[in-house]
Amino acid sequence: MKQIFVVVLASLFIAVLNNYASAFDFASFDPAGDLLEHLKETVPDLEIHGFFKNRTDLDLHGKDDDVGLGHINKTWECQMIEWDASIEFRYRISDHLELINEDHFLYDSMYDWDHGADFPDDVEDRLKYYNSTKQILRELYVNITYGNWFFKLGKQQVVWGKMDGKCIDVINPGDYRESVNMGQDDYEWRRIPLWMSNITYFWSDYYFQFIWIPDFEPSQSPQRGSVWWYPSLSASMPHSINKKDKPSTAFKDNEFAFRFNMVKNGWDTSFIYFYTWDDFPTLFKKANGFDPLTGDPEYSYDQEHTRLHQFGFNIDKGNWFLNRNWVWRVEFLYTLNDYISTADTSKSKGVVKRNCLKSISSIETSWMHGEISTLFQFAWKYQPGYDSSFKSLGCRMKRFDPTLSLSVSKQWYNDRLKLTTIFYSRPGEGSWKFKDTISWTFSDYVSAQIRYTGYSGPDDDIYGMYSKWDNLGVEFTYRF
Amino acid sequence: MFIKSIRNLLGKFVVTGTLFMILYPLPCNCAQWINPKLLVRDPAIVRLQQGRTALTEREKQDIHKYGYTGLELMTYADSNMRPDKSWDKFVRAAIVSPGGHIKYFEWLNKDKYYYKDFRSLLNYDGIRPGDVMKKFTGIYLEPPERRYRGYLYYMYLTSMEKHQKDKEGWAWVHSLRRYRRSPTTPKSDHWLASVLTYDDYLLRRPWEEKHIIIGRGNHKGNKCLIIESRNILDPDYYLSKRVSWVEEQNYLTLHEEQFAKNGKICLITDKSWDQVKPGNYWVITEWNSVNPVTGERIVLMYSDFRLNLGLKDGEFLPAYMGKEHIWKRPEKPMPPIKHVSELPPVPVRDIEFRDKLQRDN
Repeated sequence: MKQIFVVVLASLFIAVLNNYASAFDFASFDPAGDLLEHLKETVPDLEIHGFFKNRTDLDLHGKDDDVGLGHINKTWECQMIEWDASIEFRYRISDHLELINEDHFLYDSMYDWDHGADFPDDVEDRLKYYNSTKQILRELYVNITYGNWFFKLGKQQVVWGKMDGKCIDVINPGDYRESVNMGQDDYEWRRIPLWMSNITYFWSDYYFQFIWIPDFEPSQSPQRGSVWWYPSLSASMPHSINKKDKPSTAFKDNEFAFRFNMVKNGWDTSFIYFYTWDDFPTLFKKANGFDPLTGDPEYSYDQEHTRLHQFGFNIDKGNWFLNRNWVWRVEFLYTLNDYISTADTSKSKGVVKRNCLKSISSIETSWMHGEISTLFQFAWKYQPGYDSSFKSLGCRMKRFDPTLSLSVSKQWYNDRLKLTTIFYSRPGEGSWKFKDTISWTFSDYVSAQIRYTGYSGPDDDIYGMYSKWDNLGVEFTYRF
Repeated sequence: MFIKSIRNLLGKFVVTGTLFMILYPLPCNCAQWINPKLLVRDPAIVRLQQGRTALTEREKQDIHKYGYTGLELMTYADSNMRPDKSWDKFVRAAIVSPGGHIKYFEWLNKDKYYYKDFRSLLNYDGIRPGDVMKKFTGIYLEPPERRYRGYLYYMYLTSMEKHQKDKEGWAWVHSLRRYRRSPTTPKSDHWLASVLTYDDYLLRRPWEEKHIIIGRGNHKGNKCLIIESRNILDPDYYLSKRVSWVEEQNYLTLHEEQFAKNGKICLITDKSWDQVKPGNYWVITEWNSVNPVTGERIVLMYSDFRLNLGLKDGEFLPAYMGKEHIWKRPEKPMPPIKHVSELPPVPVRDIEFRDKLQRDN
């Protein structure tokens, strides 16, 4: 497998060198171009776009036994060989009415090509490819513009946050199959779209948005036993879990969201409220008597989604300082009625109900004629009513949990070559994540990138637990 | 008696009709381009802008010799860069690297102005430095990686005292499904990673430079006055000087040559203009620039202009970009430019004028 990867990497370098020497005219490589031009002439109101992409991540540590607190057996050499294809149709019915459909196809050939890898059947069933209409029919909505009103009705994704990472970006659930390895650019395809009515009214310097969501989909954590399953937890199922029905489509079980925004004197400010279900189910412990042999108490767990109220706020502004423009942003999210897992045996259900405060703030600017961009971000989570028995992913939770990140990117050759470095650090834990990406744009249609992601820290930390999951990735994309 | 009544009636018709014709305001769609020199009426407003109290000796000589000061001409030329009415247009841009690689962009743009006319920018009639002067927004149609990306800028009126905060901007990224404020870049930063800077494309104001008229010339059959401009705002400015060919009748900049700090030529630009109906406003239809040293180029092509659109403020809110609404289609859709051969000829330096200047000196 590693040999194949090295060949792919070498081919990429040769392709870049060839391209720069103009040995091959990549600018004209657009196999779908003529067909689309012809289609545009035939049906002028229909636009078709999409991409085809391969993303391969090689595990730099390879196979290993007894890794992390969960004693994981790593049986794989690649973390993914994912083939993605997307096609988007936009049909303009009139100046005020547009129908949009986006379909997404995914096949992870690692499950077929990495012969030594050994995964439970349910992992392969869920992660190998999209096998349901719900997954493939990614977005389908109609845009209606009527005066100051804007209606977006159908299956869609709504993003409220402006940070790298999630704070007030709470509307859609996500597919977190890659856990912490997921980057900001992956959200587009890992966010799970929902059927909803999204209505906005714009006036003067303000807008008001109302969202009604009759649909519910849970977020998907890394599958137990998959590549990115939490190494702090055992890969085998320790207890029996009774999955309860997800919230119904009845009106009382629907989700509702409101957002008010204004842009005044350069201050961009929003207030949000979301009456929602927790996208991650809570495990309520249930005593099932005693083991007849050992006499130990036996438990099972009821997996249930619970109701939440979320209040949020965000503000951003640009200021001139040291002869350049600095943009700073702040987001807060206060969640009511969240359930937290606890080791306190006096709590019969194994959980306690608490509120929670989360915030991300950032500062961004550019240097050297806009060729270098820097973004510093400070994220934290504060747990009111904290108790040292609180647990998260099997590890001890912290009252105040900060994460710092610094992102630097530089571009050369008319923005064709780009180097991006992102460094995340959790100061209290002494753990970090590092992501370095070099990308090259062959043409307006073809691009490629090479990426290194590294993790370090103690085994009971979210980055540290993946310290043997460092990877080298290669990605090719053709857009049309 | 009857004839007298008829005469009275006719008289009333004539009087009311005349009054009606005088007093009835022109409908807004009859707004017309007015020659900037006629619009300002008093040239002193233009010559002594930004609180200046007296002309320089050179300016007095220029008035005597050419009838204008350099600042006056460049201000008239600058006023033609914007119709001062809300408008929209399609823009196509081909950026050519030294190796001949083309990066092609296409976008739809609309502008809304927050002042009466360019005269009000000089005498601060209804607008003050620091106020929003213009908002503009747009959506990218090409290249595929930028498709449906939106941008929004608020431009502020700057002055000699208040010139640092000139704009702020937001971008909507389709792949992220969100808008975010972007750090606005200094004036000398490259616009669209091209040979043009933000100053060239968007920000430069006439009063930021000292202008002198250096002669008369001709560009593609049009009589021009030639103006040399040097930045007075920033001692470390990236250019030593610019030389502009301004057409004499309507004050349109047809040709420009820029010189780096070391005095060597670093950019040559040709601009093509046309008048669009209704109102006969002058608009740039082609902006063709090259760095003669590296061979890097940008060609901007503008089309499908519509003026006096009556745009609403709500259309210039950051979240509005999330609609990803392509509000009009080009009348004649054009395929993307993929080869240098599809571009207009490379602009060349006006050697004749350079030689004449060297002889005169």
